[in-house]
Amino acid sequence: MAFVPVIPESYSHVLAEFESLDPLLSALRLDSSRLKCTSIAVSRKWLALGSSGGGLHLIQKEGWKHRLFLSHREGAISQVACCLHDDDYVAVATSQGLVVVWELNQERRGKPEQMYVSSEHKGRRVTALCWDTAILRVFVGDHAGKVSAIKLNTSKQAKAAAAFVMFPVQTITTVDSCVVQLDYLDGRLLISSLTRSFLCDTEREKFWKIGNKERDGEYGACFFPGRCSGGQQPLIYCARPGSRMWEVNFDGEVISTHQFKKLLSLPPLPVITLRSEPQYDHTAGSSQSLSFPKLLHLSEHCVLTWTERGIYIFIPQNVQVLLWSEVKDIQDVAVCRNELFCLHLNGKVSHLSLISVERCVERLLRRGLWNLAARTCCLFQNSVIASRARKTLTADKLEHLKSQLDHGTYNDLISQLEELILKFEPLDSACSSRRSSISSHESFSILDSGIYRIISSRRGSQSDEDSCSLHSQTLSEDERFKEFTSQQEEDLPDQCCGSHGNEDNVSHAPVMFETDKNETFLPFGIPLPFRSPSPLVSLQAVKESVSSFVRKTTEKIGTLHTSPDLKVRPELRGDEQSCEEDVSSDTCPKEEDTEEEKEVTSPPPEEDRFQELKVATAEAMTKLQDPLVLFESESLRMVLQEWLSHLEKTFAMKDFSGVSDTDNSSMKLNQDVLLVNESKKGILDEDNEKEKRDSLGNEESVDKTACECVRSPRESLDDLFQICSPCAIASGLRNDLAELTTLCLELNVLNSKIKSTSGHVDHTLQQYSPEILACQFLKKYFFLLNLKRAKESIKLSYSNSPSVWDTFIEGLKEMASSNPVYMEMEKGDLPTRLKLLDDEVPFDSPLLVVYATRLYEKFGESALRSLIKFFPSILPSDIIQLCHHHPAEFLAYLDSLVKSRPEDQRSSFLESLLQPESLRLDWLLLAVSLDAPPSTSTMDDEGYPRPHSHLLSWGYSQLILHLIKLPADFITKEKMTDICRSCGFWPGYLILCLELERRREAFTNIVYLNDMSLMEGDNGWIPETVEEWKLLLHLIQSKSTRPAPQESLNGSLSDGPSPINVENVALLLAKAMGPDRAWSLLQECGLALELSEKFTRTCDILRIAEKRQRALIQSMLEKCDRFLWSQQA
Amino acid sequence: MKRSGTLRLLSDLSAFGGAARLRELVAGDSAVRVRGSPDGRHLLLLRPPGAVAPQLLVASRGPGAELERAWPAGQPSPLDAFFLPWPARPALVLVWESGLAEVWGAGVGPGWRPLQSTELCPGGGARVVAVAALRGRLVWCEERQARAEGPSGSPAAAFSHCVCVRTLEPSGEASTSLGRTHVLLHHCPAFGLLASCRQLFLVPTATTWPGVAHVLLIWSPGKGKVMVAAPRLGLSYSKSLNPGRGDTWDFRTLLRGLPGLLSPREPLAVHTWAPTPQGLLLLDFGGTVSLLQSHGGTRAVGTLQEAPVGPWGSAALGTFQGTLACVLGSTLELLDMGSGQLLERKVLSTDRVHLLEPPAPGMEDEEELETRGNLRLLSALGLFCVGWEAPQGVELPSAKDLVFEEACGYYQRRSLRGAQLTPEELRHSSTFRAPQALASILQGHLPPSALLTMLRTELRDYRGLEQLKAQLVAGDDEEAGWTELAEQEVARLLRTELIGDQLAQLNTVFQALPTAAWGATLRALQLQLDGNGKLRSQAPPDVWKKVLGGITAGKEPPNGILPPFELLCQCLCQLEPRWLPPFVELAQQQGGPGWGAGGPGLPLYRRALAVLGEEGTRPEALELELLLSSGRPKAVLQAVGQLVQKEQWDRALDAGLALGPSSPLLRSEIFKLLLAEFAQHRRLDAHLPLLCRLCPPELAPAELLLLLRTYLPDEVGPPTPFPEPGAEPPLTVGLLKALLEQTGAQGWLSGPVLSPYEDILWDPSTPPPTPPRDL
Repeated sequence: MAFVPVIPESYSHVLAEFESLDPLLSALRLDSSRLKCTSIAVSRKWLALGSSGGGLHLIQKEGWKHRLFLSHREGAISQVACCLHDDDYVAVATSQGLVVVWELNQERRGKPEQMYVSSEHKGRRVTALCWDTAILRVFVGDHAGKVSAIKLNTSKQAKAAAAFVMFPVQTITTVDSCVVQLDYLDGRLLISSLTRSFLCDTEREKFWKIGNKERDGEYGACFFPGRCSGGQQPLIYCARPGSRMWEVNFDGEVISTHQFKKLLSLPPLPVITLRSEPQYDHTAGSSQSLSFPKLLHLSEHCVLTWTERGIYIFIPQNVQVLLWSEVKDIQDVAVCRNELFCLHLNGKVSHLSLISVERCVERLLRRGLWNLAARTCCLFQNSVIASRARKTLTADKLEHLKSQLDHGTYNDLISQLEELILKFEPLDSACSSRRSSISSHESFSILDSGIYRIISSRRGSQSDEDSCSLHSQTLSEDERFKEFTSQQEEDLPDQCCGSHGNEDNVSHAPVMFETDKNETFLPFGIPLPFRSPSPLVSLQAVKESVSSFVRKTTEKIGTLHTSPDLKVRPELRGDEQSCEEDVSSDTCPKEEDTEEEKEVTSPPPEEDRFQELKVATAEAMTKLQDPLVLFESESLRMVLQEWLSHLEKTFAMKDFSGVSDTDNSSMKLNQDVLLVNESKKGILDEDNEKEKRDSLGNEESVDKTACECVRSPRESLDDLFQICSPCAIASGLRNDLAELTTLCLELNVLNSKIKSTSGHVDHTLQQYSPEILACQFLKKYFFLLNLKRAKESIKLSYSNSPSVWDTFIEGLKEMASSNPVYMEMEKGDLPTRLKLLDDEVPFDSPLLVVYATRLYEKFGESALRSLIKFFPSILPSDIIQLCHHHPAEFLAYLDSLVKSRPEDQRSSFLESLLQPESLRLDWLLLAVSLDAPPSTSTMDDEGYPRPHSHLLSWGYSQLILHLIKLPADFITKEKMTDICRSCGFWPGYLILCLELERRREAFTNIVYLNDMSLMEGDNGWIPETVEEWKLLLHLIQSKSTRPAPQESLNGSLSDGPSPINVENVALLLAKAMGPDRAWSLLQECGLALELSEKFTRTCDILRIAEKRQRALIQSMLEKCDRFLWSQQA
Repeated sequence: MKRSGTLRLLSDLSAFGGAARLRELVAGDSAVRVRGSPDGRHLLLLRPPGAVAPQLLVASRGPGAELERAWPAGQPSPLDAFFLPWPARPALVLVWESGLAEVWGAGVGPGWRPLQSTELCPGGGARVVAVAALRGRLVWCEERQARAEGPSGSPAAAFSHCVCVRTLEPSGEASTSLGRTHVLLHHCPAFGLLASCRQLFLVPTATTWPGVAHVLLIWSPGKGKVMVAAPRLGLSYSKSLNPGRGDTWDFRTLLRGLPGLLSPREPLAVHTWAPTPQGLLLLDFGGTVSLLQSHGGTRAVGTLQEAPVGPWGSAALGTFQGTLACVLGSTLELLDMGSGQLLERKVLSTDRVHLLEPPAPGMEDEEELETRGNLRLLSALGLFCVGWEAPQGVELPSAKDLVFEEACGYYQRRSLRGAQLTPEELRHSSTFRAPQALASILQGHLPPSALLTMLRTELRDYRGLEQLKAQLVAGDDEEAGWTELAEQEVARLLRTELIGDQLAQLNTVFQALPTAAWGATLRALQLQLDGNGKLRSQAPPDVWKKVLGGITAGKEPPNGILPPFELLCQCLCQLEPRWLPPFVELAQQQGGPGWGAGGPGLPLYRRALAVLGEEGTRPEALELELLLSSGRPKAVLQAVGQLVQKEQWDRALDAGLALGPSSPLLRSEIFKLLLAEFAQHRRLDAHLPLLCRLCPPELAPAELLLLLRTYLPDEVGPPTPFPEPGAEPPLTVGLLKALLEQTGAQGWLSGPVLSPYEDILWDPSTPPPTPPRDL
């Protein structure tokens, strides 16, 4: 490992990316090429993402829950602005220039409503949106320089009147050029155009130009609020060319010009991110002369801006560069307190925090990102040493950090850390630190429990960030314990589902919180692995667990029900994440795994019913870590078999009395949820699908468990699907169970009783076929399966047992049946239902295939054809299973699917679907036998083609042609030739003959088909050698000696294509080899006499044409020659 | 078309520095690794570690030093070596099992010299088992022995490998920069690494744990994706793998997350892998070649006639121009990639053969341009090019042939050389590049845009003609097309010298498409009809010169080919005979000295008459018209004579009267002719006034009477007061009076001296007496 360079300067702050929003974007399906994020805005509560498809996603920042989806039909969302003083309002501009203001009605749990649609800027490009800071008013600026204001009635006050009394759109001004940025503060609107900035007093309608010098280009300007306490007037900063900034007072007078050019010559500061190791290049760059497209006020003292190269943060009052970092291709940045949300040109969104160095290290430590933490420490050691907050980052923390590093790999790092620790001065002297002017304002205390409590010194301080939230000192010790434990639960996913959101805590933390969400007290605790928990904490934990069982189970169900509000913590879901699309960014997953597993094995015994299963599962999972087990199918099966016996035991043993306890409460909760769901109609829940399933499953459980609890479990196992979990299972365990169960299904380990010691199943012991076993297995453990994977596994492992697929679909149907969408899907015509499916069901939902099945059952083939739009969420292999009774209908789907691609991509697309290769012949056979003309019309009694029978129409001729034109091996091609021949698909037959160099055969058939057009045009098959011409002429001669061909199929020959006769072929020959050589060849064949006047005449004209071509060649030669000489000269 | 595969000798290796060592190495050891540099100038040969004497030889064609290195037995030797695709100068990288990587460069100073050396796996303990170079990246598979104590090959060590990547880029003149190490995969089995231009293939090797030997991975750094494929199962999955974003995969997690890969299966039994731009080629022990494509699908390409004998024998696979080439032992088989058909099988004289990838486009030498896209084959005998050539002779004429045939003529005209150029000569000579260029343009290759602009019209016309031909053959009766063709051709021909071939062509055009041809002529000569029904032309004289030019002695055109004027006349005669005389008349007017009317040859009207046929067979009216309009005295007299014979007095008189005062002699000749008739019979009497007008003014009455006397029929008998019934009445003085008066009057009127009594003597009020009427 390379030595970590040390940043010489003492930087107090750094940009850090603690989490990736990629999973969020991909859950919103904003990462496809079809749809991407086009605009961004942020408020305290929301992250708003506008998409190219006209949708606006509102994501609750807390826990990254997707809450609302607002759709617009007027083009992509070009601008979004959240109202900062009321989270319930958001304004959106679409690419067609419409501005829509939404009231979200979140507090009343109502549906979002469009409050106002302004077409004032229709047809123009809205370039800036900005909310008033006090009243409900939105300012809109467009590319032509027009600025308008939309004033809204607060519906809260005059709900009824709102619909009728609308303030008109007020045009504020029209400036000389495109509006680059708008900002508003205390009655003043700041407008930045391409040439200059304007200040506008919106009340007195007064305007000022700021400064005298114009500029040209995108330069931004922003307000810089004054300090509340100091009574200082707000300032304005305007970007100027050459890294300059004007400082302007609130009356629009330029006070001074700040120059940042030289200051920016320092090398960029690395962004601390989990994606890669921080890099620092010492070589200072040259001074940067930049222009800043927008200025944003950030974190009280700072102004942020960006270029295509990086992000720059200034403390303009001190003419100081706080930092600059390389972050490429930023399109827009939204800022909320110290958080930055950067929209990149490619539609990706990254979430950065401006954070002090020690806080950053602290957070990395808390997450156990030892390597990154160590690197950051070393990199910023000057800052760390200088830092006053070394009480936070104490020497023993660094020691602990050092001890966590692997000695083998991080030798250098460790020695660097050691040096750093040595440099730590005594604590006292550290108090007199050289920190910059905006050091954070916290103090901290250490509780007995070992919790570091960070206390804000000042109310309203904005220099803090999310999970390091501030704790009021008024919290009682008791409550702290509660929070600690709940936090612990959160951090240890295997103990509970790890899904306690804020709302959970609210319920048992009876402290009155201050209503300002800004000050929300989040549970805070550091799982300090370097300190043993204090006895008090341990005691509390035991107490908690003892009393928790009933509460927990009920709560669990409750939690699962309220899943839309569940907090997804990607960093705790490393395992699952890595099964999903992206690699987990954990640098040492191994260690984490084992840690988690330890936790699994050691919860207090009396609470957990799954103790044994848990142990077995953990054991099995550990074994699966061993590649020698995982990749040795025998041993893998053994492990699964072993584990399955535990699973069977657990769920067979289960009496449902335990569950019935919870039934009432769950019922109640569930009803609530349903109500909530209904009231939130139209709100897309795009949470992690697993949880969605859980919630669905639990909704199901209302009726299900109600009736099931009176059944004997055995009975239920045989006939009924176990759709939902009979009791709560912690999510960590659930994930493992899902994986193992699905693996069992995939590997055909369906019954623990079958001992496959010698590698094959002893069928004499077992009456049931694997097929029946699989169906039973599916029913029994449906609730445990990873549905998507199970679907794939069934297609792979039970491809010849349609009953397994059907059973699986039955299960999904049961699961979906209580879903309102499913009910709704039972009504309406196909387009309506498709629309519903399109809108309401996420494409990656495992239930999608059920909806597709329902559509197919109802509408048949036409439904299949329309399912192509769900490719690749629904694959052809799904469709094969879907219509395995009617393969013909599959072909209709395939045909449509292929045709849905652009012409030039069809072949390669079809080829990519053809796995395994043998499908080529299967599909070809199917295609030539369906919708085909009768064989009597394609061939005569001797099997020769009937004249013109290649012109008959075939339902799937395009598909057939695609199939036969795909490259394949010789045997396949020959088989294809035979298929085409035997069914009389002559166009395909000819193509194949010529491809396989069976030209004689091809020409024979062409003569039979008696259509000159086959030999003409660019795609015509024309003889290529003299021998072939002779052959063709002889074939025609012998044909003419046979009895006259039957009448063509389409009535008289004169209407049809021109026939193949000596004359026509002779003409073709004359064209191909010139009239004179043609003539001699015809004489040689004894055909010269049969030729007419027309032939001679045509030859004459051909001669003329050829001569003319030669003349053209001459003149082109001359030009070419001249050109080439001029090139040489 | 039947093609034939050829092996063309590009170089017998003597052009390479160190040719002897090169031959020796190629011939000696079939396990030697051979790589060609991107510019095709260098060859790299490396004996793998474990060989008797590991040796590295870099030979270069033309100037440029070779590099030869040997490592004594027992010392570590390079595991692999690659050329780096750097444009400026050749460079190569050597990688040792220990992880040492050395970059060597040539070009700046004399010979090859090491530029840089780096440890790929610092910290030691790791062993590189495979390495590949992929477009500015170095990828290797290393075995990490940190945990496992057991020897390599033990089960515990089976999954202790990592696949890592570092960027490798040129930096500055003489150094390279290696980026940071990214681990792509960890806990993976030993993989073999193969790189094509865009993809890296991670394939199982003999030492790969059998449980995963059915899986292979394709990493596309450009897309940031890794494809996990199990070709035998028809499975493939794509996952993101972008080291730039810090992606890395645990092999176990990767496979566990994908359905179907853990079920029982058998390992891939592959004899030889070969990366190609289309995907990865797999040759199995049954002789079947499959292609694993970039979308993850596998398909069989074809089956070789011979299967590999066990795992030992060498095999090499490559593709070119839609063809799969496979060298197995000493046989070369060529299969069509599209249909899997065996196209050709050749037995080579040696089994030490290596296939080399074609040089990167844009980097090949001038002389290699023609072998572009073809595979190269290296044996001790030399460097060969494997390609397709169309067999000679059986080929039908194509645009290409036309070009070379025409080029012969073209260059012959410019050549000072006596010897006749042949198309073959042009085809293979590099002196004349224009024909090559043009042939390739006509075959559809795009020329430089400047040239394209120059040729645009011609090319368009050329293609238009091709279409026209196709339409014609298809029986399309689109006359407009032919008309245009004929018009353009005539217009073109009229701009040429109109001799030889051109004249023949003109004849052809006029025969095949007379109307259009005439139309084009009309335009070329700018013929217009004026108010008097005469033709006018504004064409420059040289056009007329060409049209009217006769046949120079000794250069008579072959039979049946007419000179332009005759051709036009013939055409006109067929199409619209009444225009022929005015045309000939106009032609005569246009004729200048030395040609046409003024020339020594036959006068134009004679030539025109000759077109009409032999004397006596011609259409009389037309002949008359022609003669009359010719303006030549003889012709006019001839015409008048004919008219007189036909007793068309009116026309005869008109012809005489039409002659302007410029030709008094001819006029008087006609008068005399008619006067003779007048003297002999009375059928002209009705036309006497016209005859009077024709009477030459200078003719004195006495002369008239004298003339009359010569024409009067001899007195057979004594004059009778009354003519015999049925006989013509004789000429009377009354009739003569008018004529005499005319001569007299004209004499008076035109006389220089007027008599003072003139007006008294001449009394216009008394008309001449009416002639007696015939009964």
